[in-house]
Amino acid sequence: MSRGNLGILPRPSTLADESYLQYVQSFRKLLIQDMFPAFADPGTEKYQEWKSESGADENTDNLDDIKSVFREMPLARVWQRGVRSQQEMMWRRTRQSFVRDGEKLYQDLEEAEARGPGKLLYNPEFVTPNYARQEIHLQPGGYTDDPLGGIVFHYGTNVFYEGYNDQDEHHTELADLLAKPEGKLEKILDIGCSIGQASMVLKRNNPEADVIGLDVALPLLRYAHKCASERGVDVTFQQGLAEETGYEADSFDAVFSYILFHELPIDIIPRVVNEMHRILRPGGTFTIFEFPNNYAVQLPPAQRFLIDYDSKNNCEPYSIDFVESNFLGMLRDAGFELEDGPTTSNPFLQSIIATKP
Amino acid sequence: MSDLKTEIPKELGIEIGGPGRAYFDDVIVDNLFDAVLEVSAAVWTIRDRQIVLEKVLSEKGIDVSADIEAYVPDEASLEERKTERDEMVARIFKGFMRRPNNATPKSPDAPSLREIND
Repeated sequence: MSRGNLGILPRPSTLADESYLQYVQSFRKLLIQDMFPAFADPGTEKYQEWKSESGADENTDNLDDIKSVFREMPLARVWQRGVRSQQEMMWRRTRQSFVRDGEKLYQDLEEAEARGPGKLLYNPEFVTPNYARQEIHLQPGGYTDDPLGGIVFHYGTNVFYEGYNDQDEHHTELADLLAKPEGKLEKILDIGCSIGQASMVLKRNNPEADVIGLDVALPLLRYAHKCASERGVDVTFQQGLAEETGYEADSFDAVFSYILFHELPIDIIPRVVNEMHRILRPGGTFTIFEFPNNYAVQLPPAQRFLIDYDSKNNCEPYSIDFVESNFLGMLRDAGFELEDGPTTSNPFLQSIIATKP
Repeated sequence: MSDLKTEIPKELGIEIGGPGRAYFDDVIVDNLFDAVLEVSAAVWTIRDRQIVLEKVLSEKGIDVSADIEAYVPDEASLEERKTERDEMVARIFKGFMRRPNNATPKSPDAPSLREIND
C-alpha cells in the first residue's frame, strides 16, 4: 500500500521502515556532524607530532602515514564502523521497503513513459559499460541493475544527505547557481542527471530553454521522468554516455554537472571534458560542482583520511584517482577558460565555471 | 539489450551481503557494534509507533492506557508477536553470523570493485 509522499519524498511502505530509516538518518548525522570533527583535529595534531618526531618530510603528507596515525584513535575506528554499518542498514531497509510494493511501483514507471510533459529517450540496444555498473555508495545493484533503482536512490540519498535535501534543497541551491552564458540560453544539458533533481530546477529557472538530462542509468531516468511528468516539468531525460553523447557540436548554451566526475574512471574523465567542450557553443558555460582535488597535496590530512575511507568503504572505486588528478588541467587542455565558481553551503565541494572561448 | 530487468529481484546487493567489513582488531567488536545499532534502531521504531498510536487514539477521544495494562492476548496474537520477536532477535544478532570465525572480512583498504560476469 502506498503511503504517499512527504512533500516530494516518497514514504517507505510501512511506518516501521520509515521510523527505522529516520533513526539511521539521525545516526548518520551524529557520525558526520559530531563524531568526525571530534577526531579530525586531535588526529591532525597527532599526525603533525608524529611528523616532527619521525623526521618525515615536512612539505608533504603521505596518505599511509596519515591513515596509520588516525587509525590509532579508537574514535576513528568507531566512526569507520559506524559509517559502513549505517550505509548498509539504510540500503537494506530502503530496498526491502520499496520492493514490498515493487510490482505496482514498476507499473507506475511504465505507465509514466507515455505521459508528458517531457520525454524519456532510450535505445533498448544500449549497452551499459561495466565501469558504470558498480554498486556505487553500496546501493544494491548500483544505478543500473535494479528496476526500482530510482526510488531506492531517492529515499536512500535522502538519508545520506541527513534529511536536509528531502525537498531537493541542495540540488535547488546548486542549480540556481548555473553560470549564465553571454547571449542566448536556449539549450541546457544536465550531465549525469541521475533522478533529475537538478534538471527540474534548471527547467523551472529557465522555462524558455530546452533542458536535457543525460545519464547512463535507465532505472534512474525512468524515475526522473515519472517525477517530472507528475510535477508538470518539461525535461527530456535520455540514456547515454557523457563521453560520447551523440549531440551536435556547438549545440548547447550551458552544461551543468553535480558530483559526476569522481564516479568516472580516470581515463574516461578527459573524454567527457572534451565532449562537453565539443557540444558547447562558443561562449557556452560548464558549471561544475565536484569532489575536491589533491594533485598539489592541498587537502588537509583529515579530509584525505575521509576521502580514502569513503573510496574504499562506500564503493567509490574511481574517486581516489579523481581526487589525485589535475582536473583543472584537463579542463584547460580541452580548451576551457576557468574561473572559481560561487561558494555553496557544502564546503567539501569545489565549484568551477568553465567557459568555451 | 537494455540493462533494465523487468523482473524485480527480491534480494540484491553484493556490498550489503557477504561478510562485509571489519574495522576492529577483534571482529567481535564489529559485531557488537552492529548489534547495538540495530537494537537502538528497533527501540526507536517501537517508540515512534507508540507515539503515532497514542496520537491517533487521542484524536479519536480514546484513552487506552488502562486497557493496555489489562490486556490478555489470545493464542493467535501470542504466535504473531513471537514471530516478530524472533525476527527482531535475528536482525540484531545477524552480524555475528555474517562474520563467523572462518570468514575473512575485507580489509578497510580493499577497494570495492564489482566483478561483472553476465
